[in-house]
Amino acid sequence: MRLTRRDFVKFTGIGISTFLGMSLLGCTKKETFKDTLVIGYADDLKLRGDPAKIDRSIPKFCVLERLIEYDLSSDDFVPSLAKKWEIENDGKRIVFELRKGILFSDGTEMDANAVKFTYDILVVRKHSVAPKSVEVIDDYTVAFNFDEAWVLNFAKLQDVHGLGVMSPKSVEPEGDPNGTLVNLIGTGPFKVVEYVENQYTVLEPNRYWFERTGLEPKIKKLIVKVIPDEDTRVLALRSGEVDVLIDNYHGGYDYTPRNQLSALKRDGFKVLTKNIPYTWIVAFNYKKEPFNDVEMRWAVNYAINRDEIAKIFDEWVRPAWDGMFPPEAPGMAEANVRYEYYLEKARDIVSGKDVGEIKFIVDNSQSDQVLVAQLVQQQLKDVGLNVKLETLERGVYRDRVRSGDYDLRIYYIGGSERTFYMRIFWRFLPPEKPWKVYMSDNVTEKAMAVVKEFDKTKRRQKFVEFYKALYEEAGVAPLYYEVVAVVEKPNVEGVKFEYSEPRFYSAYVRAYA
Amino acid sequence: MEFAFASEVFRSRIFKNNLCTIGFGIILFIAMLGLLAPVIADDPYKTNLAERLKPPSLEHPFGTDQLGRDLFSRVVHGARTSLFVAMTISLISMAIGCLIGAVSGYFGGIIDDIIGRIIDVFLAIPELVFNIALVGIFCVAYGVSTWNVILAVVITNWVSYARITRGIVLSLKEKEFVLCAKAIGARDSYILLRHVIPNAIGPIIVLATLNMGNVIMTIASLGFLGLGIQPPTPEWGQILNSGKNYITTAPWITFFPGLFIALSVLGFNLLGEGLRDVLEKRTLEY
Repeated sequence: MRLTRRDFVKFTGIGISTFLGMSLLGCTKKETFKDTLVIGYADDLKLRGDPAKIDRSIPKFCVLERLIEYDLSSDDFVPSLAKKWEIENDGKRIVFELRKGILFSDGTEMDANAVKFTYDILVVRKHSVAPKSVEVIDDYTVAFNFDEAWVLNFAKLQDVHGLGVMSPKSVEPEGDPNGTLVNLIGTGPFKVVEYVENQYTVLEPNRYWFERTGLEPKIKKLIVKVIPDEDTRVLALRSGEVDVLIDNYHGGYDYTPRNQLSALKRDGFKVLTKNIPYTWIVAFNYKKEPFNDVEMRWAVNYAINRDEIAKIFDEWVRPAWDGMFPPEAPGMAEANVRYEYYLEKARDIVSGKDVGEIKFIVDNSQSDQVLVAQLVQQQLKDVGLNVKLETLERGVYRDRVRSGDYDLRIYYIGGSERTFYMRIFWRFLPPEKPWKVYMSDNVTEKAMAVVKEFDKTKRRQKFVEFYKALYEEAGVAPLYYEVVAVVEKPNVEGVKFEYSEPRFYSAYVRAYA
Repeated sequence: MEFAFASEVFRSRIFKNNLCTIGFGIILFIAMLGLLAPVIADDPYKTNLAERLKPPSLEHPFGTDQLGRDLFSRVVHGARTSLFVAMTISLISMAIGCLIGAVSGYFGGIIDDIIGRIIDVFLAIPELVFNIALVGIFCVAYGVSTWNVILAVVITNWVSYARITRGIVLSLKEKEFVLCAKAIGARDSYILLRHVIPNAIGPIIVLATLNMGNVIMTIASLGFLGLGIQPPTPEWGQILNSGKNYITTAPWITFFPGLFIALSVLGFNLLGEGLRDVLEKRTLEY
């Protein structure tokens, strides 16, 4: 067979094209993924011992699920493990119908007995978010009884301080609400496979959850490393020891410092934030001079330039001009309250008063708040107040708060979405406790009216009245509206917020071969 | 006579010694900055967010920090804090340490054994770790304050004075002038205060000078760890700590307090070394 010139050109062309194609394929980076996502977290998850003390974030949202959830945008409690519910006895009794076919990560079915077991853990401990009692009506129906008829009964069932439904096999002796937590078993997207106290926890996907939702897990392991110090956590992210930093935002501390977010973003890390109904404030010791005087509380409010405070954090947070809660809080926008920066007015008030040294205390473990306190101190000095700032170790700070040995302190109101309602109770309603912020006859009455109202339209109006009463009495001096933040390496994808919490069921970590 | 002798030593020896002169010059420079801080610097607490994280300029020679405060003002006011705290610690430690060391060396016997073992215990624990632990305890018990920091450092710092003084007194108590004083019936307290301690003062001054540098480092270390003097009071270690999160974007926040810590430690070490040369020569001559 003779090779013609045309055949030669044709075969040579095919050969060269094939060679080039193969070469190009070889040059292309093959995208691969890591099996493991490592989270840096401030607190131990407390997965042994007292089951009521499980830490508030990761196990509660990665391992456990709740009967209901709270959607701030609609101010509605929405179904989760419970399909629907009936309110009885004016709201003192709620009967939940459970979804069928929900499996715990050990393959056993979630039913009314598991729900009763879970909430009995809180009942026997007289926990602050415990119901009065829980009754099993049938395998998929469970009734909760409460002492009070108020909307907080729903809030308690999804609050971050409470529990999600866990298997009775989680404790020893099995099913005993007084038992010891030995292996947390939930219905959520992950299951616990290893736990070393104060060091790390290893989680793996719960196949029953993924089968139920029709999703595919993209990681094989989720490791949570405990790194208590905030600067050390940031260094762990920078060094590659962890892939993601998340906040433990339940109580105003243990989160990625907001004053470092810009530097982290500039250095290539991804910063995800979500607004939450949470406000940092200056809280007054309003039971003694000089801040038992409403005029003095207004003087502080007028003296604070909130824009400057937001600048400390490169405006990752919003200045709190438009109310004591951010506008997305139910009824806040309608309340139409506005805090002003009015130096002359503040000076006029202060000049007419005989005020001595003001003790302003701040917890030194919160670097953000130490910065804010220094700025606020200067702003108050500018209107003639003699403010002594005391930066205190956390334990000493708490002792000073308990004993009432302060005039001003940096504190917070509100919280993540699911904590918003309970914090109305914990900050503004009796009984008197160190964590209360402001109570007066009028404010307390208005706050009580909010939490007693089951109808959300009427409740919204009551929120407006409560905000106005609190504003008129200058019960707090709001500073800035907080966010919840996730900081992740550039190769981390798929982390997303649900109800203020970061979720990891669709997360993955890119790696290049 | 003694005064005349001392001034002669100052003129003829100390200022002819290069180490002494340089060290003294550095310390004098920092001390003058600290003393004149209210005149030459602005209010170290004054915030101005519009001037936040500005690099060094004519208006702000050391730049500004994360609250827009003038760093020059904070650093020179920090010199007052650091030098005051370091001098207070050194003086108290010296007084306690010298007294205990002199008593231990002079009386000997069981007193010396007990004090010696106590000194051994203190020396067995790394000083900074001990300081951190003590400040931590005081923080929890009483809150952080300057006096708690001073107390915590004094508790560990007297030991070196006691050890040195004891050694010197052990040799001095066998000298003829001490034996003569005993022979004519002088009381022990008189001999200690009038004859023994004055003759031990040279090495103690050297130790105190060198120790000042260590104390400044200790205070700065505690401040850096968040255990020392607390914000908003300007203190070098604490300013350094506040700047560590901005080291890539605003390195001047860490550079200038770091420079002043280094300079002051260098100054005291040079002066101490120089004094050692001068005073040891004097001891040899007499």
